[in-house]
Amino acid sequence: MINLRQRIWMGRVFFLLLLTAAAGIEARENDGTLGLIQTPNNGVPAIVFAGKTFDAVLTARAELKLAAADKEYPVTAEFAPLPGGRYRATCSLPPDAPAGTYSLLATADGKSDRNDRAVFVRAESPEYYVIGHLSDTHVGREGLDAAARGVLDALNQSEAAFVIVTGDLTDHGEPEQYRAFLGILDTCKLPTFVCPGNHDRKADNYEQFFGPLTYMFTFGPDGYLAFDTMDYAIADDLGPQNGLLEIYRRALKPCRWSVGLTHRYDPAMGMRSQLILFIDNPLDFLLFGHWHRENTQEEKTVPWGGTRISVVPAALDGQFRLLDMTARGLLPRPVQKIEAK
Amino acid sequence: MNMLAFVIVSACCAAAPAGQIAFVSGPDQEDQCVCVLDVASAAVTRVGTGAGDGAPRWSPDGAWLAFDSRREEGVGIRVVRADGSDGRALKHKYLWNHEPRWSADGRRLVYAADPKSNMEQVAVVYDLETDTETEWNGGKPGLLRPVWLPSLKLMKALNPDQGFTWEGVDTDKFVLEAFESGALVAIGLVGEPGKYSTEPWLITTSQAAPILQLLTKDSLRFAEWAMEPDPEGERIAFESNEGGDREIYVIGKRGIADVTNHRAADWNPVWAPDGKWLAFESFRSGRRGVYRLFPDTARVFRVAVQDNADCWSPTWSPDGAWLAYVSDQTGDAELFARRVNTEEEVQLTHQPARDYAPAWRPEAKP
Repeated sequence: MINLRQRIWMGRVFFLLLLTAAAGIEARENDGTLGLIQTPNNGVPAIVFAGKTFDAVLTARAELKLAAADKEYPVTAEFAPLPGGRYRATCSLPPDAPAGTYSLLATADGKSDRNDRAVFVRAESPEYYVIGHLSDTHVGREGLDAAARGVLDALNQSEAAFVIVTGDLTDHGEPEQYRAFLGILDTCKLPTFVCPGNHDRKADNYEQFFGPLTYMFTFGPDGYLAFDTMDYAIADDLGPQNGLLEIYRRALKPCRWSVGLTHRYDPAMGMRSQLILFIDNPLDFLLFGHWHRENTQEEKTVPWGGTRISVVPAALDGQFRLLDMTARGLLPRPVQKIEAK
Repeated sequence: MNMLAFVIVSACCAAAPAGQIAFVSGPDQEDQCVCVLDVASAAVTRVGTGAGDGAPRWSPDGAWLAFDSRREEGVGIRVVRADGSDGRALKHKYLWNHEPRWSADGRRLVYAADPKSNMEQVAVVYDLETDTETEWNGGKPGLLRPVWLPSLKLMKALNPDQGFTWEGVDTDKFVLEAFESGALVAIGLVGEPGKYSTEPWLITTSQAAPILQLLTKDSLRFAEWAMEPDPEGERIAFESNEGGDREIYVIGKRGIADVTNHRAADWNPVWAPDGKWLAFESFRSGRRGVYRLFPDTARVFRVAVQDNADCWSPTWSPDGAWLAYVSDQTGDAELFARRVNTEEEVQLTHQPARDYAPAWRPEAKP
């Protein structure tokens, strides 16, 4: 005989299984890769201020909704075709959607998709704010995932407006490591922006899980440009990134401060990208990781001058940094280290 | 009648691009492989290592390809025939060796080698007949992207009577070395860490001289890149950020001229085989597109420009009638070609991998 307590327990398990299965069907693809909705996603989210629009990239024209914990809000969107059969949707923020964290829901041709932690609605565009910066989580390296969770937990308690994760998200770029990274990333309550590192390069797995290697966004009066510094000492002037860097850098010129986000800076990253970002229209700041240490006083700028750098030690060692974005520029605070549990 | 048939056949033949195009292809940078496309049949032959090959360069006679390629440690130069045969890896002193360029006689290659880091690159000349490396400019570091000067016509034209005068340069020795062994142009790193800039340099076996100082006293204010001599060595196209954005300039016997002069960036000049036209990339439409210009009048023509996609890396067909380039208009980087007069477009590759860095095989000169 099954008693009442056992029935309640079994009911809870069944409900949890149902939720998990539903999440598996709707949120991204079953294997964790991006589906109908490419961006925004939990690694390339949209932060939207009242009265503004945000862009989504989809593999088909779709009906879109924003979903909070208790309510869904239909989104009106204008679609424009992109190469490869994709569409850019310029989405108007529903006027009744209050500030908060939203999933983006899409339905097209009987298929539905859901990107959680994709859209963050904010009431006001701030002049002063704080950024959380971590890097080199190397998820998949044995016994170190707890450090990344601890860092994100500490950032949840901080006053950061958003978090950037500058590459080496995984240890070998394998799909199961990306899935494990997503599980850790989603413990963060703040918007999280990611870019790829040299350890994440395995076929096109990064693009399958997060979409673009190069993208820009604005927050308050400031502009941010995330880009891929590619593999060691191969000057990648061959692919599409340099064109996008020029287009995005131009688009961010009117911003108060311009900030580059990448995994590392190395003079071997390719001269064309350095001409665009550090010589012709120098970024004001460049944030990166890779070194597993912070930069010294002698390493304050890129060799071309102009662009100031801030390097954060590895999150796998439990380290991260908060930076104040002010009218005087981006001011890094001392590196913090979480206590090992 | 026979003449009419000849004209019709010729017109039909000219309507489609022909020849061979070398390019790199692969799902990711680490897997990139140099391939050769037969344009007429669309057949693709892999001739590289598939281990991270860089942009291929044809020898002037079209017999060989040179490219940089990843090795177990570092990056080295490989040469191979168009059918993939007789491939060999050059022996290097340094681990990192990039972007080989052929001499006009096809006997030597020049490339940038890193003893320490990218900022410390030296210009290295490889003699393919003796299998020996020589560091030019006396091995002094700070030379990026070296290219052969095909002749000394421009040097003679710039200062035919008085001789060259550069501070700190033994000009008699410079000229002697240039006539004996040839000359290179390269981008020199100037300044100090934290204040680096770039400037075009003329290079011989033991000396380096700033070329713009012959022509302007303002040479250190701007950052130059991509020195490209024309096929005869009479003019050099290069980029400079003078004016706040990247423009293409041409040095000729009459001095320097800004031949693009637009508020959007213009870069990557590529001379046509006859040396009369330049192809280049520009953002003047909002996206990255391919244009061509006639440097004598600075008149610019659109070649490949898309609203929602980018076009880049132009390469001329041997007859100058077509430009091949990379475009992501299908959602993936593929090779396309356009007839420069009519803008008729042909998609050349249809591969799942990304195709970059096309180089049209030159015709062997008699």
